[in-house]
Amino acid sequence: MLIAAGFLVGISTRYGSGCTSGHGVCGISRLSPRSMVATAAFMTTGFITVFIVRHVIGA
Amino acid sequence: MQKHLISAFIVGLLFGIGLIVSGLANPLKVLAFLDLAGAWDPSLALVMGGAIAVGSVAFLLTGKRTHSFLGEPMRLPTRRDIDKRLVFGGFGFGVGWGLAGFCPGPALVALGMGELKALVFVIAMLAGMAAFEIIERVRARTAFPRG
Repeated sequence: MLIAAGFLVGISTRYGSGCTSGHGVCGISRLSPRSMVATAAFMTTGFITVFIVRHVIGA
Repeated sequence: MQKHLISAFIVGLLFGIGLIVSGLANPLKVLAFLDLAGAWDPSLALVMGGAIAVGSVAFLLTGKRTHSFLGEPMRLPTRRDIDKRLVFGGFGFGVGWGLAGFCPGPALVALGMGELKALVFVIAMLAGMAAFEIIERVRARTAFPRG
């Protein structure tokens, strides 16, 4: 699980050209539209993933 | 040692300490923040809000400078287009983040704190980044075949 998660974060950081700090903090601070979209995208799937892991699978 | 290297070291140190103090380097804290349906811990939203507030002032001060105070060229992103890669990259990132509770910066901090989980995560993350390079190189070669 940890390996899959790490791999996914690594490849997605490159495809999405940024991470939580890059898009979420620096990008939004600069009012970058790309960063706002990327942040909305990863927050959404982050929430959904934890919901599925903890409340659907782990329920 | 050159000034900009010392500056980079101090800034990195500050960033790392910020991640530890705020709890972002703790995957359990991150997962509690992402767990809207459970015992939701919204404190990291405040951390992010605070970081954005400070960042906004910093970028405002940066203005249209082309070089930093130490004379290094500023390389700020200029793209404004929204493409599929950005959106799906964001989606994939969120899934990985939600599975592990680590994102790149905090994972490196946790690695520095000697966490075995962070070591596994960082190695896998580097493999993911390498996979991107390989995929992109193969695609570039197929798109523009050379001899």
